[in-house]
Order: sequence, then C-alpha cells, then structure tokens
Amino acid sequence: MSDCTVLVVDDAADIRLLVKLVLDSQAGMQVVGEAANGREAVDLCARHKPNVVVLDISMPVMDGLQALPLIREVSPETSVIMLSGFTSDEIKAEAIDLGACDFVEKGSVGSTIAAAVREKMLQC
Amino acid sequence: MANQDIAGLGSCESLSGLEDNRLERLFSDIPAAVVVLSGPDHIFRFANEGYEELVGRSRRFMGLPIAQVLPEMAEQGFIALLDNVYSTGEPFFGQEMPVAVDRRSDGHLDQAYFNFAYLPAHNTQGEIDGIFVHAVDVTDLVRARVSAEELTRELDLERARLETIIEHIPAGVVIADPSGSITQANSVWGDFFEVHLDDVNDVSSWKVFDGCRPDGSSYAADEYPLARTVLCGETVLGEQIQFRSGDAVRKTIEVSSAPILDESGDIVSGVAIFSEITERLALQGELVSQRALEHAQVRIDQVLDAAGDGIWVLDSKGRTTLLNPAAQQMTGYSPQEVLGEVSHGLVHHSYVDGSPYPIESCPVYRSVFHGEQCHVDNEVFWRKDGTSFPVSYRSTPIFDGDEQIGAVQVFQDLTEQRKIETARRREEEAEVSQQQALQLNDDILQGLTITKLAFELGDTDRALHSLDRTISSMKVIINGLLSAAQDDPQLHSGSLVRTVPAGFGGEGGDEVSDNE
Repeated sequence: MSDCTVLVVDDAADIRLLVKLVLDSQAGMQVVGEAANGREAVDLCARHKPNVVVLDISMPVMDGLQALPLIREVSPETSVIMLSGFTSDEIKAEAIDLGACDFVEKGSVGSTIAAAVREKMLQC
Repeated sequence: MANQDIAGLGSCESLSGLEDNRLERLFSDIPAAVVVLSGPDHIFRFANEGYEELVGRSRRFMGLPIAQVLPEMAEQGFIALLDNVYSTGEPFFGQEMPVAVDRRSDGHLDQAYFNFAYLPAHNTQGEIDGIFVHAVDVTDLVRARVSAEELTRELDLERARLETIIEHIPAGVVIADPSGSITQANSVWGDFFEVHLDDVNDVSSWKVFDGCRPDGSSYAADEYPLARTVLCGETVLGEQIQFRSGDAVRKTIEVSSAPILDESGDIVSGVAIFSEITERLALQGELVSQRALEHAQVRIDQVLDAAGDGIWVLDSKGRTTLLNPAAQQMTGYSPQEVLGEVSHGLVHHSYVDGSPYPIESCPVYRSVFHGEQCHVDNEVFWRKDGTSFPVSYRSTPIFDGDEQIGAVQVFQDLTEQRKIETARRREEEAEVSQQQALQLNDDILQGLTITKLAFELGDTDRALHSLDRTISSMKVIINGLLSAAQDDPQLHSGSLVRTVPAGFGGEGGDEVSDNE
C-alpha cells in the first residue's frame, strides 16, 4: 500500500517545515510538496494529485478559501484539511461549503494535525 | 317752333281770317300753345288745342277777352304784360314763368311753368292790332329740375353731415370708390398719412402708403384692407398694419373695412376706419414685460425658498439685500435683522478659535470690493446665538452690464458632513486596526503553532524563538488596546485585563511593558 501523499500549504515557512516533519514522521504518510500560497497549491495539486492537502486560510496571492474550489477542480479526489487561526463558525461553514473535509485550528499540537490527516488517509 | 320765329307771320286779322285755314291747321298741330289775341282787350281770335289743354278744355274763350276767360291771369300780371306789349310793340319773352291756371274751372289753381312769347301783331298799316302768343309748357322740366336741385341740396346736406360726423370720429376714416380712388377722408387720416386725396386715385396708387404686416412682409397695393374691400367686397376686422422707418416700427394702426352695397348688391364704395395703436402696443409690451418680470421674480423667490443652500446677497458696499430661508435657518437671523447690515460683522467676524477675523482678510470682502470669486471650506460662520458651525461658501460677484453691483454668497453648513467624515474616518481606522489585530492574531496563532510543533519535535531553539516573536506580537496588541482606551472615553482602562495570566512567570497584576 502506497503512502498517503500530502501537500502542505502555509505562507509561514516554519509551519510548513514543522508540519512536514510531523507528517513525515508518521507511518504511511509522505509530504510530496509545500506551497506558500493558494496559487502554488493549485499548481502542485494539479501536478501531484495528493491524497490530502493541509491548507492555511490566510495567505498572500491567493488565500485558502479562494484556492479550495480550484484544488477540488484540478484534483477532485484530494481531501482538504483547513489549518487556520480563523475559528468562526462562518469561516468553517464557508470552508465546508467550498469542499473542505476537516478544520484544524492553528495552535493545535502536531498529533492533532497528524490524526486529521490519518483519518483522511484511511479513506483513500 | 321758337317763339322768335313767330313774329314774322303777319297781322292778327290775317291770322284770324284765313280763307283756307292752312295756318290754323298748322298751328293746331304745333305741340305748343298758340293764341291770337286782337285789340286792346286782347280778345281771343284763335287758339289751338295746345292752348285749350293748357287752360282747360271746359272754357269757352273764342271772341271773349282774355281777362274774362282767364281772370286768374290778370291777378298774376299777365294782362298787364299783354297791355304793355300791345301799347309798346315790344315783345315779351318769358322763361319758366310760373303760371297758376284754373284748368278745371273749379277755382283750384294748378301751378305750371311756361316758356312763352307775347309778340305784337301789326295790320297792313303797321299798326298793332293784336298779340300773337306762343307758349310751351315746361312745368315737368321745371319740376324735374327743382326736384333735382332739391335732391342735390339734400345730398349736399347729407354729405356735409357725413363729413362732419367722420371728421369728429376719433379715428381715421376713409372712403374709396370701386376703382380705389379715395373720395373722402377725415383729418385723422390726412394727418397720419400726409397723403393728398388726389394722389390716391386708384388702387395701384396705394403703394404710396408703404405699409407692412407684423411679420415684416410688405403690402402690395391691392392687399390693403380697403383695397380688398372695394375690389372684392371683403369685410376686414382689426388688421394691423405697421409703418416702418428702417428696421424700427414707427407706427402701427388697426384697420377695419367694409363694403357699401347698392340694392343690387354691387359695391358702390368701401369705408375703412383705423386707429393708431402704437402706444397701446408699447404699453401692452410693457405690461407683458412687467408680468414676465413679476412671474420671473416669483420663480426666483420660489427657487430661493426651496434651495437647501444658504443664499446671502450683498450690495456693492457689502450690505445685505437678500437672505433666503435656508440662510435664515442656518444662522438664526431673520431678514429684518440683517437687511442693510454688513454680513461680515454678523456671521463672519471671527475665526474658529474666536480670534477676530479682519474684514480686509475676508474672501467675501474681496469678492464684493474687488470682484474676486472665492470658495472656502475651512472656516466657520457664527450664528445669532453666538455658536459657530463649519461652513463651505462660495462668493461670486454679480454685475449689471459692466458694473458690479454686489456679490452673492452660497454656503452650506458642514456640521453633519464633518460628523459623517469623522465617523467614516473612525470606521476606517477601526477597520485598519481590526485588520492589524487580525494580522497580529494570525501572527500570534502562527507563533504558538510553531512553538508547539517545535516543542513537539524537540526543536527547542525554534520553539523559544517563535515564542519570543509571539510575545512581541501580543505586546503590540495590548499596547494598542491601552492606547485606544486613553483616546476613547467610552473605553475605561480599568476594564482591560492588565495582569499577565498565571503560568507565564508572574503572580498577576504585572503591567505589560516593552521591557518584558
């Protein structure tokens, strides 16, 4: 069984690095790419067709909510987990409506993020 | 037969004693009265039928003296005339002599007129022995002439009466015959047109009047109202004719004309009456202008009343001449309080800080006295109650021709606008602050996330570094909140949590500072 491929999208390089480290340390997971904004995320999704995308909302160039429907379009099978500090119900509802599968708040520990990815990995 | 031709016919005896009666038959056929009288008593010796008809057939007169047969003749002096002719031998000729004759022998005398001749007849010795009478009844002729003369007198009287009437009519009256020749006109006509009647003897000569219609088109000779009346029988009512001098209208008349028809309906003449209406039109024009002016003034007043901007009009000395309702409402002044007063001293005497505002520095002053237009939106006007309000005003000089007669100020109270601008600015600042706060919040969350993940992965250095940045971001937020609390009286600093939460190194109650 092949690893679950993951794309990490966040404008903060430290977060991308740490999330990658967390996920790469998980069995059956492989981070296949990093993107600093929504535009790069859409391009990488089109190329790699990852199983899961961990997607920040607040990003320059193209934010996560703008990128979400485009990701679903170029890689319909990809599950998108929103990772953001915006915790309002409205944001969450909008993200879900646009195709997000889950919502993880920033500030969560790495294991929480990994668990969310694993849940989607099992659905692959 | 002329009376004079009878004189050589012979004596009375020969006339009365003709054997073949040729002359008797001849005289009988003459369409005149022929009588032969003889002797000093003028005895009838011959009389033709004409004479019998003249004096009446019922009379018997042959062989009788004329005085006996026609006694009324004696009373009228005719016997005396006969006597004179008989005695002097001088013939007598009477023209249209009035003769009263009792033709019916009933005592009623018929008045007649005769041309007659009493001619002496001579015997063979040359002695007068009788009188030859020739008379022609000209009664009808005389009566006809008299009647004509009477009619003529009546006509002249009526004509004189008509002339008097039309002369006294306070309008121009002119009468023309069917050829267009003016036959009669009163002095009003003459004074207006200064044309002699003899110069207008047919329609074609009417071009001398040189009139035109209100639209400026000239009249042809046969287009004048009276010409149309006499030529076509047209009745014209109230037609205006202008007489110009260059492009200027000198005079205008209003003409009415109508035909005069005989019993057969034929036009025998036309009459026109006209009045000069130059002054009336001028007055009408003035009245229209006055009404238009009044109407315009009403419209202006309505506009001024409806205007939401304050309008304050000054004369050439800066004194108030008009204050519209909006200006009254903004300043609290009534027109009665400000009319004639210099506006600067009422509403523009001070700057916003209350310091005196010299009139020489005032843009409105420069507008009034130097013709400068100005627009100012950073000053205040002062109300009657002593309060001020931010104002935007424009002052524009006004002119009558080339002469400046004052200035008009149009101004708006900016109070509400400033409130809105302030509120909008605060909203924008708040939005910026909010965005900054969100950004800071995001930075803090990121920092915390990095810190947690780093600690989780054992990257202590990265974790602490991230924690430092996070704390700095938090300080910025907190200090911003504290600063906003000082600016906004609605935010009481005491309502902010100024203590550091437990677990972060303090017991609580420590004030956040940049040194931490």
